[in-house]
Amino acid sequence: MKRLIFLLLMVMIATPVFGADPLRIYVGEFNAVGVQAKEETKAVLQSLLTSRLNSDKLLTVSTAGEAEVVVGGTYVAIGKQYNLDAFVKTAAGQTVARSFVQGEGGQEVLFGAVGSLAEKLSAELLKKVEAGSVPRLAVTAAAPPVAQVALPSRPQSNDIVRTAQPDQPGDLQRVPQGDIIRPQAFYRGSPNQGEIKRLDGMYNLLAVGPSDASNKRLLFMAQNQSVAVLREGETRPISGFSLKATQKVVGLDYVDADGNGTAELYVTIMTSGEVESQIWELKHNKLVKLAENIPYFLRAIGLAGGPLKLYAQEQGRGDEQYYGDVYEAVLQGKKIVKKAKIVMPRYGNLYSFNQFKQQNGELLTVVYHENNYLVVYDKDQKEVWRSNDAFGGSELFYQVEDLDRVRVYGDKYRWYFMNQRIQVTAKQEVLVGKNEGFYVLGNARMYKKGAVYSLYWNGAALEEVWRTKDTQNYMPDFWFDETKSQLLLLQKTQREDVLTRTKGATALQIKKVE
Amino acid sequence: MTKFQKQMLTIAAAGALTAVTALPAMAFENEFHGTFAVKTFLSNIDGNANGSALLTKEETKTNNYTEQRTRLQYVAKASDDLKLVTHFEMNTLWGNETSGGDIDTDGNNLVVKHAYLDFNLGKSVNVKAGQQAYKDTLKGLYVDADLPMAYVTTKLGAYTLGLGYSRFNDEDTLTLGGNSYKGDIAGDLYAIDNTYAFNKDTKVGLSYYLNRDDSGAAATDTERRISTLGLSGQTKLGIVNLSGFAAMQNGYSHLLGGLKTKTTYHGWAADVLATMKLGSGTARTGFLFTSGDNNDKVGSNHGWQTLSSNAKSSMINTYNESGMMLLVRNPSMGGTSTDNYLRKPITNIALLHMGYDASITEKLYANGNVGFAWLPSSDNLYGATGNTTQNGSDFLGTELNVEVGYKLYTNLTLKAQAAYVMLGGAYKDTAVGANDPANPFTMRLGAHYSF
Repeated sequence: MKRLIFLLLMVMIATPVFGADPLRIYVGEFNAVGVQAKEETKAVLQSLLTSRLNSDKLLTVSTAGEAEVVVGGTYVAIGKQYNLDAFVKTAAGQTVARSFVQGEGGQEVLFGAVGSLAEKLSAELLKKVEAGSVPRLAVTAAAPPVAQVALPSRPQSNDIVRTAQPDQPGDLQRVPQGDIIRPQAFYRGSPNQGEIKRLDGMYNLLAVGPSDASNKRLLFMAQNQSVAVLREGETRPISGFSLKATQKVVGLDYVDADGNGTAELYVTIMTSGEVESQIWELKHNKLVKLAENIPYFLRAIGLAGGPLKLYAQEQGRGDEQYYGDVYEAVLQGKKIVKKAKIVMPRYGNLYSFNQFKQQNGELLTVVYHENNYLVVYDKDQKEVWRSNDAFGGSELFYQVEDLDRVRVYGDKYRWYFMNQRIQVTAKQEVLVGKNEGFYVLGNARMYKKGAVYSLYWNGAALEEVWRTKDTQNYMPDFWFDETKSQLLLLQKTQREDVLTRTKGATALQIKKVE
Repeated sequence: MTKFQKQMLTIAAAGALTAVTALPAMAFENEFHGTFAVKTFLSNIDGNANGSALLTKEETKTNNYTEQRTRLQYVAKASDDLKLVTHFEMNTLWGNETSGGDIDTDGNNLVVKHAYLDFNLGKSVNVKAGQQAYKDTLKGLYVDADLPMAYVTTKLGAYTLGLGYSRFNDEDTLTLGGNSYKGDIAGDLYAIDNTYAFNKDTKVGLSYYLNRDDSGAAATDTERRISTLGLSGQTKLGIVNLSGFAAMQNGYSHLLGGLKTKTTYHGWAADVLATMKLGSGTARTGFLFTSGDNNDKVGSNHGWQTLSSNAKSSMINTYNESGMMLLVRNPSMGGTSTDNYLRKPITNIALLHMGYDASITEKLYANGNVGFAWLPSSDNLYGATGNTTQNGSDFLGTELNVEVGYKLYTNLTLKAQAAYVMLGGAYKDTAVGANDPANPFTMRLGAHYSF
């Protein structure tokens, strides 16, 4: 019996080895020197070698993009002597195998010569593969039907999922291809590449400050009734403040709106259903209040990938929570002063819009629809495109007492949900969050996973350029640090539970976008 | 099957598949909302006969019972400009068979609360047609009800015009060939609501309501025509939110039988309310006046009328701003089907009220209110309650109430409520045996879930 178990174990261990995927190779164009019908000879050589190299351990493919290694070579004929030389290179350009054959004769001997060359090259290449000298891409096709030992299956390099092939292959991995044909996509990076920190408390909002001498950013983060300042990589806040029970933070932005060279922290706060924002400044590692009771919703936006500026909008009543137009705003003393007006299209408000430039320089406005579709408007506020997928989605809300509706809805309060920010990069990529979950019903929202999508206007529609891997939890907020090309993602990793006295936890993850 | 038929079948199947996968492009949205409340009561007023409580006994028994209310709303949004709104309600009194509160809970208690189409005609006009909620611009003192109605809103800049028509009662049962017809023995409401917003905080309203009530069928019933004209407004002065209205009524009724005696109506109502953030909460104070009728003049009625059906004022007006639990109807403190009030419908009362809603923590809150009520028509109780004792004074009583709530989860709140009314001189010796009636009280524990 023990022998039988041992045998089974051996089979289980051995199976993946024998069942390893063949190395995908692409035979490129040959050089031909000193021969007649040069172009035809090059094509014949390529075709012959492709055919001869194909075996159960080497799989020839039709494009270089699909291959793990590329084969090239040269055919030189001088008089009656010939030399057929071939090399194998990885996608990164490293030569891993080389072989040649030489002899006497004209082009008629090429059939046999190519066969010999293929044999030698194949043997050399497989030797290198077995020795591990040839970097293999992870097997992403359907897993072989082997008895799996319960090993942690570690996802491969998949922080960022691209729909287009990036310039430098690096650690590209092919997206699994099943019966359904999908656009070619590649994974990049690995989970370890991004730094992740677990923070106690349910943080909803994130604002990113400058980096210090050690290149660590200052991070401003808000829970429902408190704001904290942390240094990147640390879990202990260096400063912060709390609010009253009647107050709730619904917006957090860090921008220099008074032009003094130092950014201020703009905290949009709802107090008993009315907006009463506050302005704070970090002085000597301590948050100091500059102003309060500001009657505006506030948000820092870099319109069309431009510099971050402060924008403000008044609060209305009832359905018209975002009243009137959005204004660029500056801080003068303790007051917010409205400057240039930005007229909003339908569904547009301070928290649901951004702008980008299309190829001809025309400025377009993108907004979240009330059902979270992305809608693009032209300069005349005319709708030109609308997504079929819903993006955005937030669990953050505030309540306003509404006694006119209480008889019907049985709830004294109306719920107003915030939404994810829309960020536009200097390259006019539109970055949006996307939260999804089954239990999202009316005012009961419990998202299960989130991602950041980068979309690009192709002249007719916003097209996906890349997206992050789905988070395993609700993603309350994100920020793309364009200067470092890094994404900072908030994830709510543990929810608050009064009965078990669990206060909840949040994770801040930093991912490199290449 | 021929090759051609097979090809056609394949094309049809592919077309069907395309149609299915193309569904999201139509942006059809399903939206769900709902509430569930379960409440248990200890009270000598809640759970009694619906309507204004008649306090006739010196000693009362305490009702102990539990009820629940479920409301489910489904909105089918066909596009940005068209949606179907449906709203269903299930009320169950534990132990009551017809409402599904019996053993095996088989009662048929599902009602359609709302079912209407909501669509836009261009950018400025909105139409709602069907069973819908309607509340007047007078804080609900005239009508705050679900009605079969067509309501058209036109927005022209800061000005909004609302035009509504409702047929809420049609008693006609005759067939073709008779002298009657559909719409003859019927009750209708015509509404014109004008509002003008000066800015985000300040707006004024001028409304006109015509109630034609021919739905009474008995000889002692009447045909009624009552017009209500009301001016309302709201603004913000510093940190104080102010709102108020003043309305007057004019109309007449004829008895259907006998000499068709005519009665004229001259009711009026007014209110002013102030709210402001104070400390860790919101303070509010207000004064409401609704006229009463002394029953001393035949042919004239000075009482404030609500929307009339079957020749009677219906019980569908509200005053949610009061914070009261027992004096006047206030669904924001009640919210289920058996809560009862001294004024339901709200008429013949002058009410001074004040309250404070405190947020103790993010999850824990407490509200407290006090209300002082008087009788504008002090003879009103005389005769109406079957007693023959004149009122001792115009003072109706003082209500003290408190509500404490804890938000256990985001959508679930646990509540405890208590209210007590110390009856005033108006009730002196008005109970059976020329005694003072017992003071009304209620204690409620409940859980409220909304999504």
